[in-house]
Amino acid sequence: MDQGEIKRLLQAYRPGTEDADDPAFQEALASLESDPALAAWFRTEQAFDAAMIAIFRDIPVRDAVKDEILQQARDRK
Amino acid sequence: MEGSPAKQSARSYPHLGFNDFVEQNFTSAYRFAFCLSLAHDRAARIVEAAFHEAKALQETEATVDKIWVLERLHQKWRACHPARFDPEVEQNSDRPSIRVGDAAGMECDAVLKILHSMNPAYRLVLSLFYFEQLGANAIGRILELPPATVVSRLAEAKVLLRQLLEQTRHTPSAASA
Repeated sequence: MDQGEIKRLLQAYRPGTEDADDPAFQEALASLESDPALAAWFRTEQAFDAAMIAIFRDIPVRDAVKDEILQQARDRK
Repeated sequence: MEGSPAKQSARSYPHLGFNDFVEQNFTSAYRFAFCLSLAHDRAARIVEAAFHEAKALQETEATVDKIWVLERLHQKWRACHPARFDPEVEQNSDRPSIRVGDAAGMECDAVLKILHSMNPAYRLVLSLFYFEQLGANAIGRILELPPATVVSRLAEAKVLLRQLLEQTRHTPSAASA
């Protein structure tokens, strides 16, 4: 696996999901232990991901739609 | 990399009551639907339809969970948008990328505007990765793509997103505080 492929995998890696059991991701993650520059790059990637996740939490959700779904379910009983 | 069937869990329906199932999954469903449709009214319609289908399954042996809902939303949207879906080459490695600290300071509306300007192939993988914090295997199931394709698309999409964020940061009307 070359450096480009390792970085692509690490950019798509989501900790805490089934990806952690995937051999391809495991191989990419193992590369971090022997490559400090790659580990630093990965930390930056994760920090960017965390920033995006925090921003996207602000997307407005119309709770009235949820209420409508629940009301319709009750009406159909 | 192989896809695997959706795991059933106690968070699935009908193990949960319908109300609890809606409560737990509505926000995810709505945000993904909004990312698909780019409009609140359209998002509301496909979310309602997906949950009504889940409700109808109460009479069957089927089990549905959040992944099922997201899959159905994607299928409904695709049914109305059968256009070409391959990402175009939009990347230019020479363009500067935004730094993490600058990205963290951007406002949701500005980032959403950029996301909505992107090719759907990129927008969808990014939305599932960031909104739902799903991994490549789960994203592949929802979008009906091999996990390896999801990995490539995510990597390209993230590079492009950082470039577009940096470009927007230097556009006074679009940049955040």
